[in-house]
Amino acid sequence: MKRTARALAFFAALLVLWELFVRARVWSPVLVPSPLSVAAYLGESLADGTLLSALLVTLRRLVLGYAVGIALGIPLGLLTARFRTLEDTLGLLALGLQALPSVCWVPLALLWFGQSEGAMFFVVVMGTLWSVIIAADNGVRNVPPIYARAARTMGSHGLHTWLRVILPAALPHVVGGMKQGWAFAWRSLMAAEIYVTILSGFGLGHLLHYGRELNAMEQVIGVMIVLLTIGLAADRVLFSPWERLLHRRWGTNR
Amino acid sequence: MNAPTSLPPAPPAKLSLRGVGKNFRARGNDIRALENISLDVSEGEFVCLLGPSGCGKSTLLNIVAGLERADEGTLLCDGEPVTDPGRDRMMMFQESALFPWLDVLENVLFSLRLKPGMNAAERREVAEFHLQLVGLEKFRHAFVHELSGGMKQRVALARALAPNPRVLLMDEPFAALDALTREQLYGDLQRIWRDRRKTILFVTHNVREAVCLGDRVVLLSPHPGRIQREFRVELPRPRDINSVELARHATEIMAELKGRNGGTASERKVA
Repeated sequence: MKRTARALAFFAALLVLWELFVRARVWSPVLVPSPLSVAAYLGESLADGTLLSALLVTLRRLVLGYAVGIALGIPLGLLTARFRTLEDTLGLLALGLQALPSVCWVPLALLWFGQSEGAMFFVVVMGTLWSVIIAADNGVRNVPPIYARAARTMGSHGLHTWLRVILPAALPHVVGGMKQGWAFAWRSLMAAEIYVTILSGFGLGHLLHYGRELNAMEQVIGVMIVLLTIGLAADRVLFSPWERLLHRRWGTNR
Repeated sequence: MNAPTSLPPAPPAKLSLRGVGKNFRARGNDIRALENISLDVSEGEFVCLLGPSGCGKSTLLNIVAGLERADEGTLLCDGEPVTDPGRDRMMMFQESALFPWLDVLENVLFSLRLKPGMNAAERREVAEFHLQLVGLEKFRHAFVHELSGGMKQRVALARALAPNPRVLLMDEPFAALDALTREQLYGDLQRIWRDRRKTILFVTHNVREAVCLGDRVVLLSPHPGRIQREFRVELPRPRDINSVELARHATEIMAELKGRNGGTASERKVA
C-alpha cells in the first residue's frame, strides 16, 4: 500500500509540474498541451470508441506476433544450445539479427506482404523471435551441468531431461528473454504502425501518426500515455507473477 | 500425511571391478586417469575410496554410476555389466544437485516418478517415508534455498534412497559442510546404512571420515590413479569420529598416504 501511494504521489507530482510548465507559457500550447486537454482528448476518444478500437487492433497484432515469436523462439533456442551445427548456423544468424533494429524489417515486409496484416505480423515476429532464441539458448548454457547428471542417475534421459530439468532450470533466463521479447515486439509494432497505413485496421501507432499530421499534440501525448500504461500493465499482469514465482523458488529476491 | 513405518529395502548388490582403466584427452594429450583398478565390494559393504585430488576417485565413482565409461576392464554389478546409469545404483554429489524449481517433497518424488510401476499414492508414501528417515518430514514443502547445507544433503540422500537402489554412490557428499553438521550426518548415515542395508561406495579425501564410515578404506594414489593399499577397519559401530581409537587408525593411514611406508597393493588389517 505504501509503495502504491508513493507511485501515485510521484505521478501526481509529474502532472502538477507539467501543468505549471504549460501555465508558465515557455512554449506555445500548440506544442505543449495541458494535461487537461490531453485528458479531454482521452475522454472523447474513449467515448466515441476510436481509442478502444485502435487499442484492440494493436493488441491483437501484438499478441499474435508475440505468441508466435515465443512459440518458435524458445524451442529454437533450446535446439541451438543442444546442437553444435545449429549453434554455428542459426545461432549466429539470431545473434546478428537480434541486434538489427526491427524497424529495418518494415520495408521488406511491405514489399513481401503489401500493406496488410501479414506485414504487421511479420515485423512483430521478427522483432520478438531473435532475442527470445538468444535468451533461451543462453539460459540453457547457464544451467549447472550437475542437474542433468543427477537426473541421469535417476533414470531421466533425452526429451524427459530437456523438458523436466533443463527447461525449468533455464526458466529465469527464459522469462527474462520473454520480457525483452515483449519490449521488442511492442517497439517493432509501433514503428510499423507509425510508418505504414494498413487498411484492414487502425492501430495506436496510426492514431499517433495522424495526431502529428493534424498537429494535435494532445492526441500524440494521449496515445503515448496509453502506450506507457499498457507497457506497465503488461509487466504487472504477464511477467510479475512469473518473476515472483521464480524469486520465491530460487531465493533470488532481495 | 503419515508415512509408513517400514518399507522393505532392496537386497544390496555386490560390485566387481577388474582391470578398469580410463584415459582423458586434454589439450591433445592423453592423460591416464585410472590404471588397472581391481576391486570387489561385497553385498552391504561400506567401502571408502580415499585419495588426494587428481587420483581419479571421482572418475572411478562415475564409471560405477554409469555416467562415464571405462576404456579397459570390466565392471559388474551383481554379475551384470554396467554401461549406463541405473536405478540400482543411485548417486549423491558434493553439491546437493537438488532442483530449485521443486520443493523438498517434489525433489524426492522426481526420482520416484521415473520409476515404473508405482501409482501416485505409493510414490507419495515412499517419499514421505524417506523424508522421515532423514528427519526432514516437517520441511516437505520448503524450497531448496530455504534449507541449510546439511539439510540439503539430507534431502539429496532421501532422493537417492527413495527408488530403493541396491548400491549408493557418494562423491564427497559432506565435504562442503561445517564440522558439526558433518558429525551429525556421520551418525545418521551409519544408522541409515544399518537399517536400509545398502552397498556403499564413498569417495573422500578426509582420512578420518573414511575410517569413521568404511568397513574398508581403499587408498588411491594419483598419476595415474591406482589402488595403493587397502585397510580393513574393524572398529565397533556406531563410530565416533572423535574417538582416540579412530584417530590412531587415521594416523596410520595418513602415514601411508604421505608415502612413508612405501606402497604395495596388499590388504592389511589395522584393528
